[in-house]
Amino acid sequence: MGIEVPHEYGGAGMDPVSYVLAMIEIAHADCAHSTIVSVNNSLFCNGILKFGTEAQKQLYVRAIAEGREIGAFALTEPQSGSDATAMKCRATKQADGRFVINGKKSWITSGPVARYIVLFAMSEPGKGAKGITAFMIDTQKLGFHRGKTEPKLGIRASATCEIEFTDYVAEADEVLGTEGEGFKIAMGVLDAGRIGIASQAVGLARAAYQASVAYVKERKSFGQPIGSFQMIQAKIADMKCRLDAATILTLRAAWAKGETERNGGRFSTEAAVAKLTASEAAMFITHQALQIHGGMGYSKEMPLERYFRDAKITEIYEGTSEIQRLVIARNETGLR
Amino acid sequence: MDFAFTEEQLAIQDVARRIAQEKYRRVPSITMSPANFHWRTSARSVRTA
Repeated sequence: MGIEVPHEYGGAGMDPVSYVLAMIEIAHADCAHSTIVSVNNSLFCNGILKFGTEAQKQLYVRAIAEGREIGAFALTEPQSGSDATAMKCRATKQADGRFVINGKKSWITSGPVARYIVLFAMSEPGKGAKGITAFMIDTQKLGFHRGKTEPKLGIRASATCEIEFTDYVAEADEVLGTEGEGFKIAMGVLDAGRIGIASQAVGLARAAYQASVAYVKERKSFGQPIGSFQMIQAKIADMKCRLDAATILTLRAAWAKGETERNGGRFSTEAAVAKLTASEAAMFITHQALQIHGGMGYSKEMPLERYFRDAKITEIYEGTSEIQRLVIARNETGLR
Repeated sequence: MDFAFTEEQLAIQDVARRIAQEKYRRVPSITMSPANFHWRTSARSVRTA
């Protein structure tokens, strides 16, 4: 649960490439479980390690990295997804330095089971993105409520719900980073998160691809394996090209993240390129895999329909494909 | 960019693969055995074998 978390905070102390390799293997078996690992590592631990105090790292990161608790990340709201600055959740500062939090957050991965949550709330509404502050939330404190678990198309083993705050009191030492730094923290954390989602898409796509290669060699039609038909061969070739491209771009993003950890700089373009390519590859490959399997692909007795359902979310969460294209183009052109 | 993996990286990949596949085998109806991809063999009959 803490692959990239240093040993002193209970993690494995590995590098971003190790994280990608492990995530691919987990997603190859089950995409939903890789989602839980991704949120814990990329969205929860990563932000606290970068911006948290020593006490916060010891309290929150250690519990998650050692697998004793589950972490979550709360940015999205019912009316604010990609446009995070439109958030309605409010954190009102009191005279004693504490904050009173009120509002709702939606689509919180691991929300139904998380002990700690990194929450983003508007503390100074007039300042837009610079008015957002990040808080460490303990879900056992008064004022925290969980909504119903969302019924989802895919990744069903990963629980998702809405959460609500009613006069939840956050102490001054539960602010992550500094006041008004929340948007910067969220965007930085999402860069790393996108590498996790790209890895997940690669693992899922690889499972669908391998199942397809095995199937086309075994399934016979008109007296020969269906893999000997050129229409099937074209599908296999297209799937292979997209899978390899996605794998290499995801490893490049992990390598770039490692480089920035050593030498500074950013890796947002590499992360966005990897996430966009891998998630669209996963959607394409699982779609083709299901088509190759025909009726068996449509059956719940085979994992193909699950791969297909699971793939879709990789194009949506932690920045939609549209947002990835925006990030890439803006970084490349310098235009807003 | 170096595409070679270190021993540590390969070791964690191997651990993740083994744990994930072990857990996966325990879950009914989603077994990954190549035998399941025989078009007439249902996953249900394989998992009880």
